[in-house]
Amino acid sequence: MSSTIRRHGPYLTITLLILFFFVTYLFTTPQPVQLFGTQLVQWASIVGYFAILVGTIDIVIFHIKPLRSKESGQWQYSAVLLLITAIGLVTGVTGVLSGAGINYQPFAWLYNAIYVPSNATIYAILVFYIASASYRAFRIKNAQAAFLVLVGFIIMFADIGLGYVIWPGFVPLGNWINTYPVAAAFRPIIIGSGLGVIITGLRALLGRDVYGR
Amino acid sequence: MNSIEKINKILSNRQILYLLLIAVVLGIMLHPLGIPIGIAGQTRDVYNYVDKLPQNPKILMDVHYDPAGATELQPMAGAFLRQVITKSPKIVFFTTHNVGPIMFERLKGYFPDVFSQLKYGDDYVNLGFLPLAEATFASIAKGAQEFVAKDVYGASTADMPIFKVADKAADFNVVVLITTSTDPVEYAIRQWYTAYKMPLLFMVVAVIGPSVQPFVASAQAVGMLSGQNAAAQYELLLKKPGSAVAAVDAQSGAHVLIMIYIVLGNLIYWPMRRMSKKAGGKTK
Amino acid sequence: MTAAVPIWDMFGLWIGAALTVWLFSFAFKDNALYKLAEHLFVGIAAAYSFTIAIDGILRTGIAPVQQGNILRIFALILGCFFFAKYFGKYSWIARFGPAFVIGVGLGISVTTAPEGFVLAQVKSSMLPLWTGDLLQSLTNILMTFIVLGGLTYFMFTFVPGIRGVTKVTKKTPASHLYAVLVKIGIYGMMIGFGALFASTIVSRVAYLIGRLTDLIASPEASIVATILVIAAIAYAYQHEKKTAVGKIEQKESKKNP
Repeated sequence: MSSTIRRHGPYLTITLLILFFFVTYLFTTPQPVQLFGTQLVQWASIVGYFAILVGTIDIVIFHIKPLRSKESGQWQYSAVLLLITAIGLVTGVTGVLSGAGINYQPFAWLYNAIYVPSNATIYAILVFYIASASYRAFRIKNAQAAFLVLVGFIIMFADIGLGYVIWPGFVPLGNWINTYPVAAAFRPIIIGSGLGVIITGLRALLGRDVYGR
Repeated sequence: MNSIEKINKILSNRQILYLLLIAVVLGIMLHPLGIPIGIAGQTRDVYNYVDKLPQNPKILMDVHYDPAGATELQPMAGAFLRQVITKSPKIVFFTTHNVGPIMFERLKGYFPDVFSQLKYGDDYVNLGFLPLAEATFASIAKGAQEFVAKDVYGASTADMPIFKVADKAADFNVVVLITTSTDPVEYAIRQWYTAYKMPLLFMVVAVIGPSVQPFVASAQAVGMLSGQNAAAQYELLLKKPGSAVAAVDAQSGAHVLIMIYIVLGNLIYWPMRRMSKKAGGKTK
Repeated sequence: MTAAVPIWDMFGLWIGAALTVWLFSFAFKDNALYKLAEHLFVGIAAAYSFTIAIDGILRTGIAPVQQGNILRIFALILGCFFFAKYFGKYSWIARFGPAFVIGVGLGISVTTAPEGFVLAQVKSSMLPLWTGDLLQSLTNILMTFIVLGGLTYFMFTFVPGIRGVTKVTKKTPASHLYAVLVKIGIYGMMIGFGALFASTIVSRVAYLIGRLTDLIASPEASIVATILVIAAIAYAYQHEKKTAVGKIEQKESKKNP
């Protein structure tokens, strides 16, 4: 029995939950059933916090290994990471338990000094790669590529003030392109993703989740 | 090596491009050009929609952005708040981005003129970080106060007057999603618009603008502001230019540099391809 | 006591500027200061995420239980299942936590996806091809064909008159129509991707502008950090050269012992 629960329990859980929400959505159900559905939804949201806790623990475990084995070229950085994590955890949890939350002064200083600028810079580096990719990858080899670059340039001119100076018509033209053809171009993708959600749900419902087994 | 190959070698050097990009953007930021900005129809539609909101609108706002996205989204959020504050709104803030609480505090710091007119607990509340999951959006729609017992500052939500008028989906006049990713958009479309027909207003970074456009075109959203240029246009419509307007010149400079590189890249590509064909080799 | 606060703020600005410059240096060359900045970021990100999650659990899990909503205990129990993965013998229990989240997520999304994603989009694609206004009519015709073309390209992958991948068995009017729709779909996609490319540049440049704004606000810190990182990059290049020379010498000494 225990091996059955271990192997099939999670899939059965998924199936039952999907069935439950199908029934409550398609049929009129008594008030206690609807309230139970609301509870389930709230629980699922709260459970998400624990996934974040597990993520942090995994990072710490991952960096303890090179520290233990004194892995050349890495253990010093892992030590720094673990040290700053420890300081952050102590100040953060102290702040939360004291009621100040994330506004606890030492913790706020840490994330404003380290986290905020680093987080922003990690994404800002991408500008360099898109610039160099634009030079390397945008080769007009056929009519389709030429069309792509043409539309890209029109939207770029519409987006920048200089385009408005060169020809004020770029702004309404760019607005028209974004509002109509672009919306039409991405519509099949949205329809496809909606069908994908439906298929994934039906697959999970029928126990044919190919990623699980 | 002939001249075409020499030019290609210089242009292919990524470090030169990166330094040029930094120099152009930094140079223009230090010496602004004052380039005029045209107003797009989509931005004007959002402005007009907010203008037509009734008095004392109940607004639900998801502050879902990180410090990187703040450059584009914070000016938009601030401009929206500046426009709507004239109507004495009730605003329930929350965030599904883990850095959202920091961003909310920064938003408060950058727009004190707005928050000084609002009383916490009566006119606005911050429910803090809630995990990014479809279940979160569904829970908020079913009742924000019942779902979140304590706000981000540790105060009990049960005693807050704002939840007497702004709690469940049907209470809100508009839901504003300020986001850097398409996940909250999809969850909101399914759990708020489809389930409850709540009006959705999207404020997004430019990179996800095209992906969100179909929802605006199909009237599942009442409008969208996409990117720093839309933020600048919105600031101009409000006659309160801010950081987005200040950034437009630098955006122009960077765009022009990238366009020049694309054009030069293609101008060099064809002669080099012909040369390599003559030499019998493969083109790079 | 009051004098200490500005010093800490200034120290924070210096650290922020240094981390910004050191992280940017990765675009030029991987170096020790970049690695240091990266590990500091990951460490503080982990600590921050943990703190915010604990805060959330207290506010939405434990506080309601204290206020009388006993059922929330089940959410806390389900959440604790995640930790079972660290106890080898009981690690199978950990799968129930994600299973619950996935089950609820799929349940509420599958019920609303048909209407929200499929029907709404299909409905708004059914546009009148003649509205009385020429520009609007042309726009509607263009949109309709782009949607049809895109759907044909992505989804309707059975090709009339074609067997397998390329073997043309019979050219029929249906296969001609299919080819035309696919062509329109591809050009429609090019419009979408051209707009996406332009939008991506706006976003990325905006990120750069945000960082440079902060660097301009702390010029001394930025200059000192830049000098340090130039030294680190120079050291990285030299180290790479030495390692390469060392490897060549090793190979040669093996050939000629």
